[in-house]
Amino acid sequence: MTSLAQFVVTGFTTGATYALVGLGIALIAQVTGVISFAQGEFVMLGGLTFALLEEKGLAAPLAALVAIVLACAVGVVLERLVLPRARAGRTDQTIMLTIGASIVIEGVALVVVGTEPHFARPFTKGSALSVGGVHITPQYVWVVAITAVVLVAMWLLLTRTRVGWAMRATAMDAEAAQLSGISPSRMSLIVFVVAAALGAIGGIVLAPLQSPDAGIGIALGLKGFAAAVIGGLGRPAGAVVGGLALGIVERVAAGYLPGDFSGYSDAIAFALLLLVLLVRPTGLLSALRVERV
Amino acid sequence: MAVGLAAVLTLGVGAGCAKQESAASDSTEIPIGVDIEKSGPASVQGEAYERALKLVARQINANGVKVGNQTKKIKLIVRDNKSDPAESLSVAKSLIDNDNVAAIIGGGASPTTMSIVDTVEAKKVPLVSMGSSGAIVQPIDKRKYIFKTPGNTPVIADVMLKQFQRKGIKKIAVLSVDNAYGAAGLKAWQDLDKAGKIDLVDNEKFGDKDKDFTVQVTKAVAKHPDAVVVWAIPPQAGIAAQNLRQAKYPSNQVYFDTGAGAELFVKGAGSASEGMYMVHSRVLAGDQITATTPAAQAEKKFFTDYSRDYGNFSGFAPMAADALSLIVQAITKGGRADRETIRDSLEKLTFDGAFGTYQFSPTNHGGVDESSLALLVVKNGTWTLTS
Repeated sequence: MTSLAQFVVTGFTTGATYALVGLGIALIAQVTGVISFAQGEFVMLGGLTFALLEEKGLAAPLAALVAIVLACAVGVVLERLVLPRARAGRTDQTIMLTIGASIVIEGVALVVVGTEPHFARPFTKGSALSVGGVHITPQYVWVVAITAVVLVAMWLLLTRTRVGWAMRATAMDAEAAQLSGISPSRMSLIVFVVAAALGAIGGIVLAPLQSPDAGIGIALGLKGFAAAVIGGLGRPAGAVVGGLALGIVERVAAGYLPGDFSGYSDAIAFALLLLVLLVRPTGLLSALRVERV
Repeated sequence: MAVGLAAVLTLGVGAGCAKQESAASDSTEIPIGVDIEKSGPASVQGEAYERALKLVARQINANGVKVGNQTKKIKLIVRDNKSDPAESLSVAKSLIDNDNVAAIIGGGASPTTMSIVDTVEAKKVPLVSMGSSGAIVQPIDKRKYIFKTPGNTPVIADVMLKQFQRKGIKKIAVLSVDNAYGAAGLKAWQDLDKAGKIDLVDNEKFGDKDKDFTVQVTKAVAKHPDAVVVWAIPPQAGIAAQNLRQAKYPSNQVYFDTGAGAELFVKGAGSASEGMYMVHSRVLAGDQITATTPAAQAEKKFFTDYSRDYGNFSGFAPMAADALSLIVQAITKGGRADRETIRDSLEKLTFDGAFGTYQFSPTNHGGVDESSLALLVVKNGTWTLTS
């Protein structure tokens, strides 16, 4: 029982990052119709920049800020690159563009930073807490708390602000939104920047636990995509649930497989994606969706 | 795919010319191919290898290599195998067929070496690998051209076993990465288990891209082992150390293989590494070596040179440094720089390198001997000799 609780706690932490990436992918997909496979690179950019600056002696909050700003800037470039194709209705090309962008971002990071991983200190010192035999390091608490704060902030942004309404309106019907004076190109820019920031934050909180290197982006992007699809691409909440579920299933499955097979957690994650696509192609949360008339 | 194909085609054309040139003129350069992990999960090793090779090549080329009555220079041709066994094979083939190399250094790890040994053997090209798996150089009748610098896996396990026997430790759990490297480590312990030397209470694997082993550690610790043995490279080794500390497992019961890799391990694991053990060459405690024997002098010199050039030392560096030094020694001793001479001469070589002492023979192609290896412990953030 204690082991199960430990696996769930660990899965929750990794799942939080998948959720942030997945949320970015879902938001971009809804507002612009583009499926971005480059979102994992923002986790890499955020985490790696943060770890590098922290190693160089910069204060953690400042390092985090620089990392997020850098990721957002790259998000702007990505949006400028992809949007003209998206507007021309070439979804196939936009997907390829985001994959290409992902490879380029990784390549530039490899040239600039090199291949070595970098190490960030945990946000706060202290040894692992033991709650009923489950070991929780302070950084786990940070990951979950910061992810929760970010998710609440996103929810407030989407439901309580003018920009959020405009974004949702564009997601529902881009043409009608445009007729009521909302600029789709401004919305698209905003959503790409927000998604980049989400990924970067995920990378920063995870950096002290899983030392980032230039190559981590592609795998995280795929996991984030799986999270978004499992939850249903149409709902931001779905991506969050999908991400957390993915993280937990991955760890619990690895935990209960015999030791010889516990290296197969990735395969399990993607098998889950396949299963969901076969059984519920519209995502796990699809039943909750209200049909728009 | 298209890019890869185009690259192969261009290489093919370019190399065709190179081949004719080297056949026509008696070149003053000896081409040596390097097949290493410059990117991918094992890129930490590749970076250290490349630095070490460049350092050694520069030192050797300062005086040149005596080949018979000529003085030649070493020309390294470094290619990235992306830590991928399949890629490593195409790199090796290209080095042999297109660059017409005299010998190959690589792959930098067991998975990228195991995929090329049969081809390299068939093409009769001498190869010195930095992979540690015993299967790289055995069975010896199918590995006439294959050598390696790290100690054989059972030799490393044996160094740990001696410590376990001293401390009366019997119950062991093994955590290993799920590839040819980790599998060799696991097999060594399974064999010791079968032989009744230890009691293997648990073995847990993890993927080579995983970055969290809380699950594996939780399962292993639940079996109450007296010692946990980890077969992993950085950054995974460092994360494993953190996860073990997080599970409150005593650090003086944790043992790492040579692959855990020195300074990056300590850097990655941070304070969690304090008190943990690793089997490695004495060179790692380079500043503590009292250089009285020729072997110790060679180790200390390399440690000093590398640290001066690149800031801090890497435990992987001496493996590649020795691979090149061994080939150069073989050329000098054999008096010729062709593939057959290098192979024959390597097999008779005894050499004190940066990583330790090598005593190659027709039955032993497998790396530094046990006397070069030591059990080190992290004390105040640096590797320290235990005795």
